[in-house]
Amino acid sequence: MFDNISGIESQSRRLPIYLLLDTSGSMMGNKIEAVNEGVKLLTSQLIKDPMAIETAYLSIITFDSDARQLIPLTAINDFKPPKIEARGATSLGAALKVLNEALDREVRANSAEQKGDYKPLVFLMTDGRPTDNWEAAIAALRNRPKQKVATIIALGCGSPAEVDGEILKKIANVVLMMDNVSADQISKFFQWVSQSVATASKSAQMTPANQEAVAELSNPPEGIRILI
Amino acid sequence: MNIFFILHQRILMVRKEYARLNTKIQELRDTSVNRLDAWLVLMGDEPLAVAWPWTGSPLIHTEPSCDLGTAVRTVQELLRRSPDEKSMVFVWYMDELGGDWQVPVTELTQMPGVNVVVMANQANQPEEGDFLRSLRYCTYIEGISGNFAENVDMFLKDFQKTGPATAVAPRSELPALLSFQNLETVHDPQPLSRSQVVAEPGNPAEPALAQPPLQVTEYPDLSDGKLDDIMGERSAPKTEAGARSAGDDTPRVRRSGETLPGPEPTDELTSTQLPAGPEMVIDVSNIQAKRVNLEKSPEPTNPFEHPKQDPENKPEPEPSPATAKDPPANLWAELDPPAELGDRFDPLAKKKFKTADGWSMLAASRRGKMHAHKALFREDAFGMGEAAGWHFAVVADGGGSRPLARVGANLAAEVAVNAMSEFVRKVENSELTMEETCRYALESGMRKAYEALQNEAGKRGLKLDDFGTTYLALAHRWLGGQKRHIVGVLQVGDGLIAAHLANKTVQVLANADVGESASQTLFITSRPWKDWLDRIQLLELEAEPLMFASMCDGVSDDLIPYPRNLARFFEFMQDIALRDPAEESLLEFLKYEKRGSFDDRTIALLVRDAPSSPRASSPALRAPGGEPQGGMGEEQSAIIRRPAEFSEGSPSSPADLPATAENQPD
Repeated sequence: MFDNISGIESQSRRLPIYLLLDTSGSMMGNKIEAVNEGVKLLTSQLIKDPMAIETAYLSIITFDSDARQLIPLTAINDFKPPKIEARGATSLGAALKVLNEALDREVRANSAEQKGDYKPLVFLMTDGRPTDNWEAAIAALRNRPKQKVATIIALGCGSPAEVDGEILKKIANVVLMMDNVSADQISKFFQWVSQSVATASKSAQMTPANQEAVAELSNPPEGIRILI
Repeated sequence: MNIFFILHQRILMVRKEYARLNTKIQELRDTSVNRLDAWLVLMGDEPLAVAWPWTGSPLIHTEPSCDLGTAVRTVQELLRRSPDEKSMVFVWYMDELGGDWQVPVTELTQMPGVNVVVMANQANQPEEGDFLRSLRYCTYIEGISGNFAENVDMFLKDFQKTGPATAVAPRSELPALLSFQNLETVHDPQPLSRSQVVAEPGNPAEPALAQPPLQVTEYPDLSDGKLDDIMGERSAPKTEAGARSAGDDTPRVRRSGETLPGPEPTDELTSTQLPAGPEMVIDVSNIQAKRVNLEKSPEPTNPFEHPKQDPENKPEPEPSPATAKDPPANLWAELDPPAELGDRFDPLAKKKFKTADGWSMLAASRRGKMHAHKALFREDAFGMGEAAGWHFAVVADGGGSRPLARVGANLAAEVAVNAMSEFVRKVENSELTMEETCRYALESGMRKAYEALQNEAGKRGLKLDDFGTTYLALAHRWLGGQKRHIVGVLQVGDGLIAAHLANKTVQVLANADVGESASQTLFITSRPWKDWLDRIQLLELEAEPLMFASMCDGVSDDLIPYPRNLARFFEFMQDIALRDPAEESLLEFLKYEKRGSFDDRTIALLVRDAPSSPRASSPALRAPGGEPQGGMGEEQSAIIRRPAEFSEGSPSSPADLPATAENQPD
């Protein structure tokens, strides 16, 4: 009788997910392959979760000598994992700038007129130190309007000598460190990302509309530690 | 890798066939390096799609058919879930294909990584064969007989050999001589050496199967690796057969070297319109397999996890057929909360009654998909009551993360309505004005609800917050003698209370808590009850009310932005209020599908009845000329109540209304 309520048009609340992926030269080879596989894995996992499938939207921002939004925010149904390649430097600042702009442009804010999106989740993955001016970009990110703040989770792939955890702490709400970088570890990370998203999409539903969706994260997998 | 078997049900009437297929798949899985998923899709009005393993008896349709179109759509939907997998789709049918199958089949063959093999025992419709032959990535074989599983096996073994799945298989044109076409006659002058597959003499075929006389079906010799080429790349249709077919009506055949224009099959199909095949009717008396109880098993499975092996003949729970819309209903489980939990509330609730003064109150509440999926209770609740000429409605939504949310919501709604009713009875003959009565009643409702939650928390040794719930209360009274309405609302949290007015507008009476501090969750337990009292509002309505609706955010969220969608919403509600039983209809409405909307849903309506004549149709639908525009039910009579007609008491018969062109006798 009422398969759909025709004539009533209302957007759905989306859970925006941004992947910020380091595609600098040091990621070349196994690492970037693992990242590619990881994205595919994430997609295939999310597609199987009924709540994620209706709310999750995914975007990919890559950064090397420059940064770009490789794939704009796309419904997980329509999302096609791209082929990501690695070369060049590590322009983290540029990436944050692109993220900032994407959040402004793509994420809908809650208002009396408009149903806003849930609080976006950002997963940042890097294996080295930034080579550009990142401080300014961080400041801009911090000063975002209240409705458009995102939860940022950063993963540093490498030893403390390679990855500066302190910088990541300035950017992210949660910083994870992967000391031994392997394809398997990277795969586990993406598994964890998909679980976190599934959890977030459930908890997003459970909180009233005017409330920030609290990103509850499950424990990170073995081999990845939380940087306090 | 995925394998789909799209079969006409009759094929499975032969039990051995079914069991053989099962065994074949098991062998493949055992030897397969890659993951292998197999699906059985039985053609029918609602195709039955079952993931391997197939235990027990084969499934039975009450009305099996050859509806290939719908079956292929189901497969397409399943394929979209695993975009990077290589897939084989086997179709085996008898006599004639049905359903609008050409477009779906063409689309299927265009999906990356998908190979389709269509087998027919005999072709009554040569055009079908021609069409299928013309498709790339589709292999058509006629005159199939014998062991289905064996036939399939040959294809699968070589398909397997070609390695791990790739996202997009390269497309290439095959030399014509490697095709499987022209197998109708034994004397096929193809240069390829072939092995022969003969029908098994001992095959206990059904009389209904009408086995053709022993036919020889010829296949390319697998040993010389030619099938590798075919399956590893893609098989292309033989062009000759296509060219042989009569006229312009056949799909255009691609020549060697031609580039593929891309997945746009529709242009080529418009002129090939085959009649839909007739429904296949099975002679039930000959069926060997048991008729299977198709009722849902208590634990519906996720189709992407293999169901548990059941030694008894337990039927497979059937996922509902996937539609082109996403997501398909079968991703959602519908589970009962664990038996050890107390405070059990039914996933569905509904109520309706007529008031003494010519109004109806009806409400319905339904557990949402998310709670069903997670085996939780419905956490919305409603309460409705009437006393001393007053009408009360309360809806409440228990706080999501709290395990006893349902208790909070149900308790608050019930206690509030009882408290308000008791209050107005108590003060009925007092000096209080109507407005005061309304205000104090709402206060009383809030206070008693809050205290009830406190008591409950105390009794159980829990925190008050554990019973957190939103709260939307409506109090209404119609003073016929004075020709006015008293309306009061009190809302804490999200959701919506609105009124549908006779002047073709909708008035929002109370609103969600927007603009409050985002970090605070707003439930009535969030603050002392007195803090909420200044939210009580007594409202002036802009026109005569026809209907009031209170709802929790599970529904109101889907209506944002107001007020645009509210007009349409009230059209639905008016329609529902006219049905019988209306509360059942309202409950049904709450099942609507909307992407991203899987919360519990609750609506409480207060509707003015027309005493002896049909209810006024929605003013929003009427054109200036007065003819109803439809959408309200064919039996709708066209009486509209204009505000001027509301004299003391309602008109008792249509004769009381001024005669206009719109009045019609009931």
